[in-house]
Amino acid sequence: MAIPKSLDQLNPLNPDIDFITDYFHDKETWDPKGMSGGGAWTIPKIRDSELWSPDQTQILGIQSGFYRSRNLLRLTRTECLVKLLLDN
Amino acid sequence: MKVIDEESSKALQHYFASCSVIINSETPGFEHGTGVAVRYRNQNYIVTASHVLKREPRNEKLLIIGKPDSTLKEVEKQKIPEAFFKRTHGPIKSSTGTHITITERIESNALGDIAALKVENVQNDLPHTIFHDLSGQGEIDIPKGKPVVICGFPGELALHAEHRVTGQPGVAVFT
Repeated sequence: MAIPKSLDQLNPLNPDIDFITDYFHDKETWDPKGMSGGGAWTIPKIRDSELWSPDQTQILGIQSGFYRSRNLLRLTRTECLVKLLLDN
Repeated sequence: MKVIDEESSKALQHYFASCSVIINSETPGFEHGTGVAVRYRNQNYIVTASHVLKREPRNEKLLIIGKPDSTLKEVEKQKIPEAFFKRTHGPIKSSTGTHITITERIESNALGDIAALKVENVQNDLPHTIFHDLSGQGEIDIPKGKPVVICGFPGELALHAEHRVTGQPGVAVFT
């Protein structure tokens, strides 16, 4: 999903670091606080007669924020995580 | 085929939940966050957003709540109280906040709001938590327009509570 330019002027998003995704949840009662740090996982396509294994799913990013009025979550790319771990 | 899809979906959800932990602190008023247990180059880490860890600068105060010794139960939000108090969905096991062995806290402002705790002794401290192998992930391709699953512990499901015996602050979690 493309990052709207005006999304976060206080803490602008950097496409090399951040990405966003929309979400569906009960807007009235959902409290996204506490979700920060959670992983965004891919849903692998399982073919007929194929056994599922954890290797088939990937962590795409780590949630870093949310924009409640726009139903958007902000995430840090896994490439940044891998670089963080590699550099240390 | 539909049955297999449903079972695959359950297995996936169980896996995502098994790799996710709650990050809490002994410090009163700490707002909990979520962490993901990962393994990279034969080293275990809890990764999270940097702003979660900034709320507690002392590693020794951190409490990690990992997966309990039970299978994932899917319960509609409205039915959580009866599942918890009346055990309508079978027995429920709990998991306690644990001081884990943190050997290093890794952050870099240049890499965004992300941080990692290098951890040891996880077999004892988080025996049921699964550490996802990042080394085997391969190249990342963010699939535009395709659904992803975000796994975490929102405030409405992770309620801060005080332990009646020890008086230690904690988080009651309904997953």
